[in-house]
Amino acid sequence: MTGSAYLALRYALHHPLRTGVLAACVAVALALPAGSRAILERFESSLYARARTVPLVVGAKGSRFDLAFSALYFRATDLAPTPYREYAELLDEPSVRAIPVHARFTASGGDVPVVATSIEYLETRGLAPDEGRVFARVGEAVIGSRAAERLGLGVGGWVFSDQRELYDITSPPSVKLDIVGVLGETGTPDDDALIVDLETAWVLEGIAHGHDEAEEIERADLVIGRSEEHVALSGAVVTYQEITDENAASFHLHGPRDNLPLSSILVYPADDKARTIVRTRVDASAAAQAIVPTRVIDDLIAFLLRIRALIDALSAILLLSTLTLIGCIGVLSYRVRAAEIRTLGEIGCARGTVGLMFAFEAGGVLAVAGAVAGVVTLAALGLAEPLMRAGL
Amino acid sequence: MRLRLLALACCVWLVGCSESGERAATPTEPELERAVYATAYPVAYFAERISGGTVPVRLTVPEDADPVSWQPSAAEIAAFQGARLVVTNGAGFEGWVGSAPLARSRIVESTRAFEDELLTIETATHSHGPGGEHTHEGIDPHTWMDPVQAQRQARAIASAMGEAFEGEDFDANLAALIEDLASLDRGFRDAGLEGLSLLANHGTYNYLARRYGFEVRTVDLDPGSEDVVAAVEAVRGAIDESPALIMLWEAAPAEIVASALERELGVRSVVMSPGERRPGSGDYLALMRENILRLAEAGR
Repeated sequence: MTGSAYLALRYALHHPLRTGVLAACVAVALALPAGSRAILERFESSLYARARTVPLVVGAKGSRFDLAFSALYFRATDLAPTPYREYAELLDEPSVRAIPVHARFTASGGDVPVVATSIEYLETRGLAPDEGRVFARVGEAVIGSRAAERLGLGVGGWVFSDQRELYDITSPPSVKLDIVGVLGETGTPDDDALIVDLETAWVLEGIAHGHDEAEEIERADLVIGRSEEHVALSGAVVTYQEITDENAASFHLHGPRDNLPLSSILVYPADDKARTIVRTRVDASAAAQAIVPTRVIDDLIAFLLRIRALIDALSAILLLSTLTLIGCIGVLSYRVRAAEIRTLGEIGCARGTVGLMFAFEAGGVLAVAGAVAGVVTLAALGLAEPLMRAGL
Repeated sequence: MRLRLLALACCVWLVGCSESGERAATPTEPELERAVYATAYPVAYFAERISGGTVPVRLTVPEDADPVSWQPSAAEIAAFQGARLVVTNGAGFEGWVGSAPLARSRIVESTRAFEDELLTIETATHSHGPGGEHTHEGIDPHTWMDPVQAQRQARAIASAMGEAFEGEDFDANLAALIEDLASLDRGFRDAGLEGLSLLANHGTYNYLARRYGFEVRTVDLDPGSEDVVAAVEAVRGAIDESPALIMLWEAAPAEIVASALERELGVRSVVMSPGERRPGSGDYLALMRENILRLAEAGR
């Protein structure tokens, strides 16, 4: 037995290229289905894990995939904004916890999503600063651990929000956001985000702003009209681009709060009754919808399963082709090595030993191919994260 | 649509791969300080009475600060963020609360239930750019001056405290507070205010006027000012339009002004403290009782 194994090893070492090509073919045939299955399963489990953290998402009518991924992964979408009124109504519902999310802006040249929400978002997701503190006024931000590392930012640092329309001089300018806390790592999209208060998002939208007291502005070209009750200012009045402790109190909203935009609302009903009431009420409205993120993921996974079935079919064909190839190689190899087998017989080697030697050779190739396929699968899983960051 | 779905699928595939450490499905419950934080003295008093000492009630507005214009520091905001319950008067009294990053679900706006009944007051507005005129709410925030409204505020606070502090029974304390507020209501009714025409140095008494059927006109005067000429002129202008014999002041006016108004115009000055800040001695109830006594005496 040891002799058969030794002979098989010596043969493989004597023909490294031939053996290597054979092992590589088998490795590819194994790695493709194994790798795709492993990645898909990990993808499924992580998507479901994120989706299960939010029982319901309320947002504007439209693509429920867009709504789910805007709420869970802060992806910018074309969905219409959801008015704050929806959130205010949910706050009035008994046995319901509602958390607003506004994810329509980015910072640092599109590198980091600016997620505006309430303090309850941090609490509900268990996000706490490792350094610094939580935002306490408009213009302050906490940054996710990965974003902080990538941008080299920490407490005391700052980052400018991205202007939505770079060449539109009437669009609201960028706003300097002060980093007051760095969140602990959670392994979620929160690690890549810059999290601010809702009021800050409305400053970025240009709906809220700060400027010198209207009553104290003396320049005639900036004041269109003045009466006891009303001061009409020119649009040329420069609003603050940097929010400081000194001017934060001067920031104010234009228009009723009820109409201000949100991207989505995360809803946590206490029980099935509350969940049903929320879904029924929201779905009855003309402009809003309530989705269950896990069901959206179900549909997405069902679609992906079809892709996986295609990959599996291709893999089966590849595996069959490889096995056929290996069979052919084996038969040809037996004929090519007829003289070698005859010599082994003439020097006293039993027929079983020769068979065992071939079995060792085949087993060795399969073992090496399996190991290579395993390494390739692990590497694919490891590369998935950087690929994802590059893709988004 | 299929292409879009395919693109989304590829994208989220990659997203999913990065999510190795997602947390459990159950949302985390924050660790909150077992306390009620109040933003104004009247509601702090109501919360203290309802609590009866079982739950700490904190009023962090500095004693020398105006609760209307007070802006809390980051550390003070952090304290509010960590409180189990934040009790506010509402009606625009605490301007900072609307824009502060606090948990909305833990804020009790005690006037919310009757916001449709709130009185509006004139405020300065401004407009600029395409956004049009700013929509600052000109609401009179002195809701607690009316003891009947104060009862509704107390009930709202008690209800929220009951939900926030499970296992605590505040019913008896609330009943005692409601009875005290009802006694204030009786006191104001007995003061014989109906049909009177009064002046006030600030627009603080509109809810009282509505409740007890008297008229009040505001003559903006600073109680600390000793400008007798300006005060007499302003009050003379007001009583020329409609006679009045009593002027209500939020704080004691300068003696020289009070005596000049009485001597030259026959207008008596009565201190009617709104109790926006915690009094040096006594409490909201004592303060209001003193207000009633002074008012009844002046009306005789």
